[in-house]
Amino acid sequence: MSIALFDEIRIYYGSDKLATIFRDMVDNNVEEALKSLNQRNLQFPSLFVLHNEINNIGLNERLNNRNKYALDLINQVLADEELDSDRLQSGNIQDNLAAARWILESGYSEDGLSDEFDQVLDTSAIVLCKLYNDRSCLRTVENLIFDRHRKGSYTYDLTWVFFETLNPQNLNTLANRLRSANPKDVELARKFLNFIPDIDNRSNDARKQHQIASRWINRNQNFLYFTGSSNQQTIDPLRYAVSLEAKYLQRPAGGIMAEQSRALRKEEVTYLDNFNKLDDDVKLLLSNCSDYLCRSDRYKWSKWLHSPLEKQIEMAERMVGNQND
Amino acid sequence: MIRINGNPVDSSILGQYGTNTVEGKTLSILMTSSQVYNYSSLNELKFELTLRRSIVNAAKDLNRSRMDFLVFRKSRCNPEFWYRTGEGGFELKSGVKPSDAIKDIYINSSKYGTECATAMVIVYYKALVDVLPEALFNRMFPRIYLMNWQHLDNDMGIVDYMRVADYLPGDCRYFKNPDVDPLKPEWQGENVFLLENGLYYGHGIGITSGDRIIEALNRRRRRGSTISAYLLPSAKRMNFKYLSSQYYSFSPGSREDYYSINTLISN
Repeated sequence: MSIALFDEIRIYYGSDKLATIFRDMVDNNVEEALKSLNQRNLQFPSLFVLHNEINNIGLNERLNNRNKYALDLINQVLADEELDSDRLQSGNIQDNLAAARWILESGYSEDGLSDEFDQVLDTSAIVLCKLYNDRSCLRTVENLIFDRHRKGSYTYDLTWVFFETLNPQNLNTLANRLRSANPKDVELARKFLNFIPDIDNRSNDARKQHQIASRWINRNQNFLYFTGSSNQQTIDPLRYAVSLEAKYLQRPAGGIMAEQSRALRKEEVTYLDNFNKLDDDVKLLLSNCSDYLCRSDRYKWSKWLHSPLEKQIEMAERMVGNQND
Repeated sequence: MIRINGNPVDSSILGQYGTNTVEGKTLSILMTSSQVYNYSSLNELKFELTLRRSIVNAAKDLNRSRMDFLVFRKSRCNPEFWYRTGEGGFELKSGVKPSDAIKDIYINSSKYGTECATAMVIVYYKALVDVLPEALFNRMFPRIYLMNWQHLDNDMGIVDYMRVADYLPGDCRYFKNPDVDPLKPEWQGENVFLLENGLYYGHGIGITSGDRIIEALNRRRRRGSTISAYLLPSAKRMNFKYLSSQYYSFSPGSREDYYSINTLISN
């Protein structure tokens, strides 16, 4: 797609020049200025640079839907008022979604333009992920978090919305950061993946750390759930944990936690009730045993799960004993 | 129950403190608990009581201060003592005495604004400044970076215990707001200190009851939400025993310039 006129001016001559040229264009030919502003391929940073001029001249109502939504978001954020989710969701859903995606995706490359600009980007990510449950932007959000961490800039809101939205089955993209050539990326990835055993802050072996993380994620991703923990709540938050119940029944954690009574079969509910009466170390033993059996011999696993709890424990202990011999 | 060197402590120790003081309330809870609390010396126990009182006092003082509640993006600090980092935390400036920088937050409080977790860490540091000899404090905490629960100094030894047998004045707790309005993520929860009267101090909310804190958080939920905020069973505590050992092993020559623990206890 060709570059829009205002983007070209901003990129080659700077933001101040764009504002000057825009004012001149409005004075001479307002229709031409509006046409350039409403160009389909315009990038969000140019609209952001011109938001004061657009407000002052009063062109808001003549903007296309995308620009109207973006300008309203800019104005709300910069007014330093509490953001209104109803206002941000009023109008056509598809238009709003497209506008919020446009802000984030076309604004991403200019992250750091100003604090206010970054705040608008962050808000657009929150709108997409939390108001519209749109996960398609998570890759961009992740990139922003890691880029900003490299620069030592603000990641707080993006990190919050990222983990609030991320499906634990997609943790491999974070694991891949363990192989980054940039030590800041590795440091942050380790911090985020600290719930994985053997992710060692002191290890210099990036390849090995990546292998450990990937293997663990692949093995446990179905049984992981988001704990909701964050740096606002605690020291070294463990953002994900393995649901022992899910691993024991070999069911996805999401199903177990959100729809326990609806998604599980009657006998599974009984198994789970009995399982939850056990001590934590026995639960761990049985969930690991269940996982191992299910992977190696599904028939044997099913037989084991249907056997009395005492038999299950006996067999699990025997298996551990055999492994230790 | 309290044991010192394996021996149970009788209730006569309570007489040294008023029943409504932080120390008295703490002792009363410890002594009537089914949990055994072990101390290696009476001084170790007294140090914890003193530090808990100092935490409660520092929390109340911060509540009376003019430090604003601000999200990290808008946080501010006195540039004479602190460097505001790109992520919104406060890093001690080089050449500045750590104890002076912590005190300045209380002296020039209107120059500061941050969110609730960082306020808790500020309270911890202020409590330590008020209890430890200045030279020891500055030696133990030469680099301070205030930003929620990140970058904590290991010497504070803060641990977040998932569950504790008893909640004591000076414990730091957390009210979680799982269905927070996504456009107000700063209300995802509230860090608080438990005070001696059963109320809590939380930065931005003030001193109030647990029910009121839950009400305040519930007002910042996603529209139509029916999931209430709640108090987590966890509690954060400093490593009182380690800090006590540092205090008592500090060279007395350096300590005499400052008030001793006995003076603090009698205040």
